[in-house]
Parts: sequence; C-alpha cells; structure tokens
Amino acid sequence: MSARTAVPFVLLAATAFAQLPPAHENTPVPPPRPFELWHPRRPATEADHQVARWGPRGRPSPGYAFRAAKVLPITAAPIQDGVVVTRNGVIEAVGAAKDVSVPAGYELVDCGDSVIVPGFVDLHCHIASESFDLNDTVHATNPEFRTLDLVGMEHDQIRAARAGGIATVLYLPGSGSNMGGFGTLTKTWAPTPEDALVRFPGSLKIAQAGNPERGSGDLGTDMMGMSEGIRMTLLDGHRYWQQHEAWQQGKAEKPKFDPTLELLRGLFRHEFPVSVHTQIYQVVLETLRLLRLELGLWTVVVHGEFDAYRLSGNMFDAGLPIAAGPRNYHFDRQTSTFLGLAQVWHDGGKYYPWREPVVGVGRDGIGLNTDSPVVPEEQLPVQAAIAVRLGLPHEVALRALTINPARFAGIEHRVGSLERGKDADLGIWNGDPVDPRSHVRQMVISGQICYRRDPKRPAW
Amino acid sequence: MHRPRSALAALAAAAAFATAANAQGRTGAAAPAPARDFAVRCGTLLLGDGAPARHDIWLTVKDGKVQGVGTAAPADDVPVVDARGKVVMPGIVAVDTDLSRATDSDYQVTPDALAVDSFDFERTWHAALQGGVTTAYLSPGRQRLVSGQGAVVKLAGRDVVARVLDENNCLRVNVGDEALRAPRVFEPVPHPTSDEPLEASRIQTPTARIAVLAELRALFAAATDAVRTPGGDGPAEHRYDEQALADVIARKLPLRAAAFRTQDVRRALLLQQELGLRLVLEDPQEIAPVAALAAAQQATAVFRVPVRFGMASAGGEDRLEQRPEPRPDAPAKAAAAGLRIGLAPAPGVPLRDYLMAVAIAVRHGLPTATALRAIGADAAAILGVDARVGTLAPGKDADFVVLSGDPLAVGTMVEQTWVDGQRAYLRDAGKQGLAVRCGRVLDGTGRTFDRGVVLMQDGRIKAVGEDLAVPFGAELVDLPGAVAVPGFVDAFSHLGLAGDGQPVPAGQPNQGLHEAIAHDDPMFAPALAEGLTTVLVAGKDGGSVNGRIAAVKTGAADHAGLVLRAIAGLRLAHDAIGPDAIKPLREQLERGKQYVEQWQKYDKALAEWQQGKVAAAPPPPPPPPPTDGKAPEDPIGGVWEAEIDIQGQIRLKVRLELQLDGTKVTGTVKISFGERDMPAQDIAAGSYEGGKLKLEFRGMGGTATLEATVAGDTMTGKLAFGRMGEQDVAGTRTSKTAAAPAAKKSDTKPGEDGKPKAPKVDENLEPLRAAIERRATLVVRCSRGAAIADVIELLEKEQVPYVLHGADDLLDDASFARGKHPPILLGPEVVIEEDGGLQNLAAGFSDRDLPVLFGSGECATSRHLPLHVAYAVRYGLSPSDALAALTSVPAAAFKLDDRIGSLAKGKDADLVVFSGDPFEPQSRVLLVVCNGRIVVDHREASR
Repeated sequence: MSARTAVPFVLLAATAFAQLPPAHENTPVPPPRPFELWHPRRPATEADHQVARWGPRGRPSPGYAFRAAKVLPITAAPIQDGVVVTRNGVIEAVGAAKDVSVPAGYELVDCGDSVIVPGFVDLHCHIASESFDLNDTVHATNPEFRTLDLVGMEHDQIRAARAGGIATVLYLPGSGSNMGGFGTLTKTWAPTPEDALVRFPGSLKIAQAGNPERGSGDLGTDMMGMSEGIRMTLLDGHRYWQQHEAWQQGKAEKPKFDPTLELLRGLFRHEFPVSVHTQIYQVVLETLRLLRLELGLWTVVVHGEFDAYRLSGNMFDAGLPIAAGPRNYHFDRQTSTFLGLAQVWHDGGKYYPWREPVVGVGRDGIGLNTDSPVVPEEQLPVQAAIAVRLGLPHEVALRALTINPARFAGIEHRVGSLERGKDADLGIWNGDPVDPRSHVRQMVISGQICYRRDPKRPAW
Repeated sequence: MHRPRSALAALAAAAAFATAANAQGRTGAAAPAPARDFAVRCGTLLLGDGAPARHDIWLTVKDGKVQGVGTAAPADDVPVVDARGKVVMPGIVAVDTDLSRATDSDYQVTPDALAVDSFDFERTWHAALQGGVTTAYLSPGRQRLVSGQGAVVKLAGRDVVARVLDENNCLRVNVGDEALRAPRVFEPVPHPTSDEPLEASRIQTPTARIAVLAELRALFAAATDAVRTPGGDGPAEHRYDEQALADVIARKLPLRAAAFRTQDVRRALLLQQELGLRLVLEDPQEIAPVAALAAAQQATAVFRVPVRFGMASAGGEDRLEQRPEPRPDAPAKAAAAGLRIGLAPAPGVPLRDYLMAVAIAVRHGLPTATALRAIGADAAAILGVDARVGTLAPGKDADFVVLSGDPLAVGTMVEQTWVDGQRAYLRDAGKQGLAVRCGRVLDGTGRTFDRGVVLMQDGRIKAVGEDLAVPFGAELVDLPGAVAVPGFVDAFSHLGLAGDGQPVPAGQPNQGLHEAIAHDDPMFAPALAEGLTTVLVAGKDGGSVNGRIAAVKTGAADHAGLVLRAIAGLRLAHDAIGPDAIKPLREQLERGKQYVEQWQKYDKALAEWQQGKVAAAPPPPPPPPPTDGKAPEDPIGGVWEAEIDIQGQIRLKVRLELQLDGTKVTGTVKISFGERDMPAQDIAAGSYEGGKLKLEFRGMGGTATLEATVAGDTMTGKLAFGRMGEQDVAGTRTSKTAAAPAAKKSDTKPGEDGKPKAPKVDENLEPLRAAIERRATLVVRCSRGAAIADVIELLEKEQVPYVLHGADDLLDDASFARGKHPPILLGPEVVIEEDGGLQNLAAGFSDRDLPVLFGSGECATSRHLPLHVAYAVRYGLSPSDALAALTSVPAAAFKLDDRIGSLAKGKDADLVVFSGDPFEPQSRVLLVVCNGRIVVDHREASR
C-alpha cells in the first residue's frame, strides 16, 4: 500500500544530476555466482521451527492426472505432452505422458492444449480485507498485530486470486505505521482459513518510508526518527531472543512469556523474513544497513521502486532479494526512457556515480508482487508481462512468479514448482501465463479443482 | 469513571422510596391486586421448549409461579382466565433490545458501565408488552470496543429489584467496524504546569480491524495480571474497574461479541479459543461459513432478523457500493450447524412486531420449533435466566402471553401479557375490527369458502376469503365447524310498526316509516336472534295502492344505523282482469312519471343555472357620466389626493373619491401610510356649501372629520381623527371622474334571481318516483294469471323494478310470465296442501327460474321466517336457492345490493353464524353481526 509515494525525493535527485551524463548504461552485468538468499539461522525443517506455525498438508483430495500439451515445472525443463499426478494435496508425479503411468482409480483430466504451471506466489498483498482494516496508524510500531486474525476465504480478492492463477499469498499488514505487524502465508483456497494456512508468521511487515511518515510532531516524522522506532522495537525482540537462547543453553532463567516478543524471537531465529516496504535508493540503503547488516534479519524488499535498483550489487552481496512491484517501471528523466524495474534489478548496470558497473541480483534474486488491491491480485501475471515487455527474460519472469518468491519466503519445499512431493497447486492456462492474452482455465489448489472458467461447471 | 459494581443498592433505595411514597399515598396509582392464584384454560399451549403444541390444557398459577400444566380442571373456586380458542405461550425472552437507551461513553473501554443503570423501570413498556415480550436483554451500548455489561430485566412489575434477573449478564465487546470509530478524548489536567502540561487530545485505539484482537488481548491480559493497580496510573479510560474483564477470563461472565461479518465472527471465535471464554455472538449476520466452528466451540448466537416492516430502507442505489448485506437466513444456517440461537427484531422494528420478525426467520429456513425456542427456552438459556423464564414449567415464573392464533401468523396478536402472574397488558378490543372464522362461509351468491374468514371494520366488510389472516387488533371469533351466511332479509314485515296497545297501521304511500321506527324497538330482538338483520317494513295492505316500504336494520346501534332505505318500495295490488283492467295501475304510474318529469325538468334547469353562474361574465362597468360642456362643472366630484406629514415622521396619504348630490357629498376616504393601505371608508356624512367641504367618516378608532376650503382643484383644511389630533391637509384633485364605485359585496345569497324553483314534494308520489328512478321497487300483489300478465307487460315496458307478491297462477302456467323472470315474494306459507298432495311454492317458482324471496307479513312472528324457508327446503327447495331467497335475491330486488345480501368487500357487515347448515332444523344461531357489531352471541350457550 503506497498511498503516499516518495516522488519528491526523485524530483530532487533528478534536478541535482540533470546536467550529468546518462545515469546508466543498460549493459547487463551478470553476477559472478548464483544469488544466495541470506538466512543463515533458518531451521532445517518445519519441525525445527519454534515460533512459526505451519499449516496442515495432505488433506484428502481425489487422485487426478492432469494432462496437457505443455507442463512448465520451472525447476526443470518444459515438458511437451506432460502429466501431473496429484492426490491428497500433493504432487505424486510430473513428467511426459509417455513416461508417467497413471495409477488405477485416478481421474484423467485432459487439459488439451493447455499449459500447466505451478500456482503463483505473491509476497506482497492485502488480500482478504478492506484497505482500512489494516492500518491502525496510532502507534508507530505495532508488533502486536497479526493478519492471521483477518484471513477469510470469502473475500472477493481472494476469490479473484484463484481465478488469476495465484495459489499462495503473503497477506501483509499495511504500511501506515513503521511496523504493521505479522503477515500470514496462506493458500487462496481451502474450506477454512485454518486449512489454508501455509505459515504464520509469514513475515514481519516493516515500512520504512513512503507511507508511515507521521505528521503529529512526535518522533517518526523523518527517516531518522522512524528508524529509531523500528530499531528500538526490534532490539526488544533481539534481547528476548538472546535470553531465550541463553535459557535453552542452560545459561539463564526462562524469560517471562511475551506473545509479541515471542513472535519477534522467530524473526531472529530466521524462521521467517521481514518484508520491507522500502522504495527509493536512500531508504533501501537504510533497509540494507539497519535490518540486514545491523540487526542481521532475513530481509525481503517488497517495493524496491524508483531508483533503488542502483543498489542491486549491494543486495546481491547481502543476499537480500527483491519482490518488485507494484510499480513495475521507472521513467528515467535523464534518458527519457522507461526502465523495467525487475529487469534493471536483475541485470545490474553502470549507474552514476559508480565508476564500475554494478552486478544484478540475477535470475534467483528477483520476484514480482501486486500489493493488491493497489494492483488487482489477479494481475500478478500481468506484472510479469510488463517486466518481460521491458526486458526481463521470459524464463526469469516465470521464476519471479513461482520458485523465487517461494524461496524468499522460505516455503520452497512446499510450493513454487511442479515437483514430486510439493503441494498440488496447478494453474492450468490456455497459453503462456506471461502473455497478457492468456487466461486460467482451471485452478488446482492442494489437489482440489477450486476454479473453472467454464461457467457451466463451476467448482466450489 | 468509578461506578458502583452493583446497581442493586441504588435500585433497592429507589424501591424503598417507592414503598414509602406509597404508604403516604403519594403515588396516586391504585395498588395492584396481589398476585392471586388462578388457572388459565388454554385452547392451545406452547411450552416454549419447541415441543408440539398441546390442546385444551390447564395452566395453574400460584404466587406468580407456574404451579402445573395438565388436563385436570382446577377446583371450582379457582379463578379462570379463559383462553379457549387462543394460543398461550411463554412470555417472549428478548435476547436483544435497545430498551436500556444506554448511550456509549466517549471512552472506548468501559467494562464497568451497566446497562441496567440506563433502564427506565417506571415506564410502561407498552409496545414490548403488546408484542408479548416479558423479559428483555438490555444492551450497554453498541459503538465501543468494550461498551459495558448487559442486563436482563422483566418488563413489568412493581418491585424493581425483583425485576432485575441479572444485572451483570455479560461483557459486551464489538469486534466489527463500529468499534473503530471512537472519538478522540481530551483529558486536560486541572492545573497545567510545565511538569504536567496540557496534552493534545488522545486517539483511541483500535482504528483498524487488525488492531481489534490485539487491543482485546492486551485488555484481558492487563486485567488478569497478578500485579496490577486498579484505578492506578494512565488515562482515565484505564481507570475503570477491571473486575468484569477478570470475570470473563474466569468464565463467570459471558463475553458478548458483536460481529457482523464472517471474519469478525471468526476473530471472536479465535479469541474464545485463545482465552477459553463463554461466548455469545451478537448479530453475526455472516456466520454461515463458520457456523460449524462456532457450534463446535459451544458458542451461542443472538440474531436481529433484518426486516423493516413498512419502513423505508436507505441505500441500494449504487451497484458498486459494497455494504454488508444482512442475511435473513443466518439464523437458519446457524441453527442447522447446531448452534443455539436467539431471535430478536432488527433495530428500529417496534417490539410489538416481534413475532412477525421471528416468522421471517422461519420464512428463510428456520424450523418453527427452533424459532419458538429462540424466543423461549433457548433465549433464556443464552441469557442464563432459564431457571426463571423461557418455558412454562412448574416452578418457573408465570410469564405468559395469550395470542389470538398461531404465534407466527401474520394477523395474530397478543391479547394478554402476564408477568409474574400479573396481567401487564390487555388488548383493547375496541374499534379494531372483527373477524369471524368459520368452517364454511356461504357468501349468498353461491360461493363457499372453506375455513372462511369474514373481516369487518367500521360496519362494513373488509374482506372475505379462505384462511384470511386476521389483522392485528381485530377481534377474532373462531367457530370451526360453523357456517356463516349473510344476514337474512324479511322482504315483507310489519316489524317496528306495532305500538303499545296499537295495531299495525294501514299502509300509506306517504308514511315516513323510517322516522316512526325506533332502532331499539324490542320486537326486533327475536327476529335478530334468528338471523334476520334486515326487514322491509310496510303497513297493512288495503286497496290498490298500499304502503310505502322502508328497509331497516334490526340490529342497529342507533337511528342512523337503522335506516337502510327510507323508501325501498311501494306496495300495490292488482288482480282485476278484463279489457284495460290494468288502466288504474297504468294511470297511477303515469302520475308518477309526470311527477318525475317535473323533477327532471327542475334538475336540468338547476344544472344549467348553476353552470351559467360560473360562466357568466362580470357586469360591464356603468357608462361614464356625461361630460358635455352644458353640464355645470362639478366643484367636488372626482378623486382628490393629499399628503399629511405628521412631525416629519409619519406620512399619510389621503385619497378621497367624492360625488356631489346637491349639497350632499358621498364617496369614500382611503388613508394609507407606508406600504399599508387602510380599507376605504364610506363617508358617513358630507356636505359642500359655499366652497366649504365637510366630511365625516370612521377612522383610527373614532369619527374623523375633514373640513376644507375648496378653490378650483385644490383644497386646504384640517383633518381631525382619533389620537392623531388635528392635522393640516392640502390636497389636489387628480381626476374629475370618480372611479366606478366598487361592486358592493352582496350579503344576500348568490343568484337568488333566476334560480329555478323546485317542484313541491309530493310524499304520496315519492315512492313511485323512487321506483321510476330505479331506486326502489314496486311490490304488486296479484294472483290471477291475466292480471299477472298485464302487470308484467306494463312494468317491463316502463322498466320499473318490481316484485310480484303471490302470483299463484304462475305456478300453474308459466306462460303468464311472458318469458320474463320477475322475482316472486312468498310467505309465510310456502308449502301448501293441495288436492291431497303437497305443493312447494318456493321450489315451484325456483324450478321455473323465477327468483324467490320471502316475507313473513307478520310482526313479532317474523322471526319464524327462516324456519318457514327450512320447511321449503325439506320439501324440495334447494338450500342454495333458499339462502339466496333470504339474502341476495331480496337485496337485488329492492335495489339494496350495494349494501346487503351477500358477504363481499364493501357490503354492510351483517352476518349470521349457524352451528351447522343454516336450514338444518338442529342448527342453532351462534352469532349474529349487524352493522359490524356482534348483536347476538350464543357461543357460550353452545359449549
């Protein structure tokens, strides 16, 4: 939610450098190695999570074999005339039709000339609520808030998500205060929100600038004050985490249980990331410095707009990924050209005032988001189309909708690609999902057909 | 913000005061009768627990409590409330009301606010009692996160302490939108210093949904914290008594959570899970998707059925606007999921319509038994007062209502409401109409309505139909198995004409029967008791032109209700045969026609005259007076204008219109000042002699005088009037011709001149005139075939309504009727012995397609007429023809069918209810209604 954007900052920057040479040379600078997401303390398995709670898997679902002209597993090469076999909420097999034997009793769903892709993942949305449900802009930080309290399967947006091919979302608090609370990773379909849960907390939402500025004269009017508020709140959590660690190592008393700090403890245990609403160069630099380097948090940038792409090299080094959007391009006044944000983040390049070209984050460091309802949830694939139109490789755009955000959120073992053992979340499209002319024919979430475009055979 | 934890102390004090006041005789109201022991004889009894209705049950009450429910009748000395034919059920337990009138504090959190403190115990809660509500939940407010504590009270009773069933019923919170809009609060310190300065007004959280649970969690955590400082630091909001919050956590107090939308309901359930609460969901309209979860968590729900009977509903013009839609099917969905529910009407719906709102929930799928539990047993259980109210079981409070019918039927009304064995409401039966429901209703024109209902109001029939809903407020007479028919008509009777010791007078065409007959003539009663509601009355026959016929009601409440038609007909006799034997009758008719022509001529002339009055142009102005040079110049005549300046402050304008006649001056004086014109005054006295003008006129509260010297076209002088004293006046003549005198307002009636003169009323001919104008009927007594034929020929030709009385020969030879079908008046003898056999005159005419009507020709014994007709039925008259002969046929024959003769909308509310078929000799008259009043009621005798 960026009701108030930071346009004035950009204007200032543009004015200051107006007479200088072109701001960048649009020459890709490939990263020296694959992007590595930084979350060194992340628990190895779901069972190792102490704070975060994982949603159920393996609810009963019929045995299906979805056969289509093309299957895009994302983490493997495209399959012509492929089959995806699903049952009890998970994928049992993926492969060419000639290679995969469909078990007896499974229903063959012939999808004809369709393209099957994984259900998409959106790491920044405010689905399942009205805008004003999410911003209680009284206090500067609200670590006590949880979108988990607000999830419902009835909201129009969450139904639109299913129809748009999106299976998993990170439902975030708003950016009206510096710390909006804890977001929820949820599927967009299930009989109940409890069944739909992927993980809570999905992340902690922090908004550093471009919305949470306060005009009431107290601390929090500018970056310095806001950063201070964020830092002090997080330090409480850090202290609580340290006490816990000490207790678990038998070095201290067990700290008094504090539900709010308990969740913050999970943040320092790298059980989930912090999702940061941060957009211009200076602010993203502060994100990098404060959250990632000073406090050592698993950090995901969920705006990263305007000229922040200049920091792609720093982000690459720090293992800090970008889920770009909702604004998907940047109009560069010095060159009078549109820059596709996902593309420049991905590619890197030579920017003023750097002497040397900056590396891009590469194909594994970039994602896309809608910030719905800023961009309607069902238009997440259109965000990819815009990115491709402005230069992001098609293959990367597909990853930015699927496996990349799944990894950024730490749920890649469940979703983000079509692999045996992962959740049976399939988007069955009539064509290339990144082509804006395409639409979803059927949507499968957790092994259930939960949407059909055919109005005569509606699902659920 | 400290409030006493208990309002009982305050109430007790109030009660003590009331008692003291009573002792001193200051309250004025009579002390109520002590709760007495009595029994209710219930036609139908609903116990409130959803069990099937029980019939013919005795409910016994002792000391304000239900003593027993059973079939055994109580001892003879126990007073009985007769509710046979009624439905008795427990007083409604209203699970939500706005009766407390508690307004929300500005503060977002006020757990110690008590709804009972805002309740008016002295007020008579008429609408609620009228709706059958005896126990009500009081809400402590609606708009805040934590509004306070609800209460449960009785809605009637003198003892205000005893009336409080639960003053700490629940803690009311709001997890929906409403709680997000608390105002900012300004809490200035009394004496600000630099150490303790004035602070800005404070925002109250939550302001967004995401913050609601967080806020509630924090509140409950603080209240249950081991080390806490109640009444300690913090803004005033936080200086409340936290006990209620702690009681909720300890499950002593239920949490009542207002949650409209699904996600709100879900959050309330989440809070219940987290904290292990007892939860009542308040109006969870969108509960359906989570109803099963709510049921699993043993939550309960109270709904306000979203209806607005007869009220406009705002909104709905914008297709894109997303507003939460109320779900009338929510109670059904919740109940189906296993939730215990309570029902109440939507805000704004008068509580008198409580049951109708409940019926709407049934309309949307809620089983009737569940709906009745939702205002009875389940409602009481949700509120935790089921040990006292909600069902009619021994030991429970004697709170019950007596209903006119099925509790959920549209027209069912609460007739009595009893609280703690005291009657708190009794429906005023007056003027609300009458409904008679019978096994069958025969409308008199051949239609039959099974389980028919006749609705009557203001003396007229409002509706007739099968199973019609009885409207609210109407008195219902329910007589299953009985048969209702239109009030009977005796087409020839002398009823009402017999005097004390005087025989019935001979009939005369000029008799003012309607004035002579008294509405309360004692001879009407026996006829009425047999169902005769209308009689066509005439004096005794004698000669060829007999009496005028008047149509009167036998059951009228007053003289106005008595007269149906002052002239309903004229009795004639004609039995002569031979060449032109019809001549006297024809001549009689000719006289009548001439008389009618006079009136027609007059009516036409009058109409033209009235039209001419409207169209006539105003009279032209009179010609101007001659102004040729020969006439001597008039020194005065014309218009004079003058201005008078009174001390430079008031300017008066004087306008004189003068005419000179010799030395006499006439005309008008008009004075105006400012924008105001005084009406022109006639000059009372005026003279002009030798250049001196003297005028007198009325003005300024007295006589005013003007004396002036005229020179040419100017005058100077003095004007004296009233308190203004004497003023100099100087005027000039502005016109030598006075304006035409305004047309004088005539105080005589307009158009006296030229108005046509009405003919003289000839009372002897008025009945004929009425018949010729088809407002009345000629009844011609005749028996001989040729005479009958002559009469038929003449009257058919003249198109005058007529009835043949007797017409014996027509039975032998129908050809005398010339193919016509005149009505035949018969009676009282309808079956005669002839040639050793029986001849049924009525059936005979009826079989020849001649409509039959009956007249008794009697006085007190008119009452036997229906039995005479039954006798005709015994010997072959079809019952439907018989009924028509007593109802629709006479009504049509005498041109009374706009008022009587059938049971139809708009007709007079006259009907008779028999215990069985009306012509069965065993059938009794149970009820007679005349002009909308029950005038005969034999229901009791028939039990």
